Amino acid sequence: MITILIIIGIVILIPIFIYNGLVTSRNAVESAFGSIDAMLKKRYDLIPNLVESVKVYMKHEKDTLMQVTELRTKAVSGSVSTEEKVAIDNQLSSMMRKVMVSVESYPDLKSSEQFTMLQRSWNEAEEQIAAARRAYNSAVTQYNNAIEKFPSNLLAGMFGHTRKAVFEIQQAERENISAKNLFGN
Amino acid sequence: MKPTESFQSFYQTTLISLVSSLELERKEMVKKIYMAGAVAVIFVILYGMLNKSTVSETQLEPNGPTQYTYSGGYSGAIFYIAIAGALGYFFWYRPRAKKFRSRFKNEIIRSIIKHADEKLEYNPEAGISVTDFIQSTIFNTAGDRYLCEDLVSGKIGSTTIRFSDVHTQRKKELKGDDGAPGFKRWVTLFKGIIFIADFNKHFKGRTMVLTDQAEKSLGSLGTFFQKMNGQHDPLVKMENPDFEKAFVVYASDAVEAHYILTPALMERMLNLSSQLGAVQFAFYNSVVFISIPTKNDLFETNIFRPLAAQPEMEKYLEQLRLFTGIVEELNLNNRIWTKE
Repeated sequence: MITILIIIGIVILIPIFIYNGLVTSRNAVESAFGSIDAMLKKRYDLIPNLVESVKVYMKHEKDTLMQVTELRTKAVSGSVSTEEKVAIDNQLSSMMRKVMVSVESYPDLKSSEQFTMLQRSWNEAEEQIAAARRAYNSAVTQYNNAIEKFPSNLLAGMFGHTRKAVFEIQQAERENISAKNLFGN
Repeated sequence: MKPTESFQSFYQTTLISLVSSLELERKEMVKKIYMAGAVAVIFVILYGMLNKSTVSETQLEPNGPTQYTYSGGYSGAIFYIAIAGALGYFFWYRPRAKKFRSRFKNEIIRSIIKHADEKLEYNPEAGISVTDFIQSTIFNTAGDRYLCEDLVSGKIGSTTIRFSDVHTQRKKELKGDDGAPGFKRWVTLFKGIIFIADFNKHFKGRTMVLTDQAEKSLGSLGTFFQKMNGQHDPLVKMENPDFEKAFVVYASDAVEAHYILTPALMERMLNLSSQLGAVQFAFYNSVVFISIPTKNDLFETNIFRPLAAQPEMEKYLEQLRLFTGIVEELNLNNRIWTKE
């Protein structure tokens, strides 16, 4: 009798554990996505200050800087979809990268203490975004593994868990991680 | 750090005078030890000759077994030599060996370290504190005895570092057959170098990078147990498969763990572990704490080994560079973030 009860108990408990495991990993994915958003916002907050401090020096990049400001306004407005947000962010990133590289031709700006600090903050924000994306990818990989591996895949199908896509880290961004070249050493 | 080429000139100008003065002292000591040994041998021989051993024969019973009793001879000599040797060891040899070691470290090792980098300080009697050791949480205990020595501290570029020998032991009581307390024995828990450096990024939580025993031996079942652990922060999976094979990462914040462990740093940490062995890392309080198990202590010599040769001295410099090189190896002087 006791043996039968134990077996029934196990049969009930295993699916519960698996189900909870799936929910935990899905929530981990969502929270990781949230942290990317938080890191992106941190970087958006830096843009006005950066643009202000370089505007005076950078005569030739006025248009680029204007575009950067516009894109930033659009990104933080809240009325854009996730896909649009990603597109805007990619555009913004590549523009800012250009701005950072052209700093090389303005020695006064390069040596300005305020700008150096902003540049450091910028690097930090970039690296934090990269970290958040990698953490997201890792959470997604674990989630995808869980919904494809036996026996959790049986329950995953039943409760509508589907594969999630990982972030493609663009080549340009990979270079960005080693932001050392911005300093010319 | 200065290049190795100048070591020869440093040896010729500064080190050689220190080394030869200490070498003289060492030779004098070794000579006395050998002389004491020779005197002991002669004493034993003379004693044996003067006190001819006698064998007395006694027949216990008529036609019964004979009992032989030995007296005098070498056995008495060995008794006196053992006493003289023990006295000599404790009252003559020990204080002198200690003084020799202290001079060796304070004069020779200190000047080698100063030559390598002016900004480094050396303190042979100090070490990484037991508080630091425990705070890392790599080890769950400092044992019953915590020994540390040979503290090197200072700055390499913009990175503040300190490292020392650390040896922790646990007391093990060997119980007798009847369960009564018997011999005490010291069992080593950790022996090696503890290296602490200021990390080049700001972070708030704690990230642990430990050698991966469970996954190596049990595969995905090991990962399952690691996830279930109650002792550490949650398990964090990194994207570098080689890194995942070698290490297991626990962190209070997964994003922060990825922020600290960039793809480049993971490669560098793997290189470091292939160079130094089973290293483990803890990132907390703005520092990186590294434990490196080693067989031998740092900066040691022994009075029966000649001191004079330059290559011998250069080995101590290499010992130092192996550990100060960690800063370069992990690129800790790369200060492009807000932490200066």
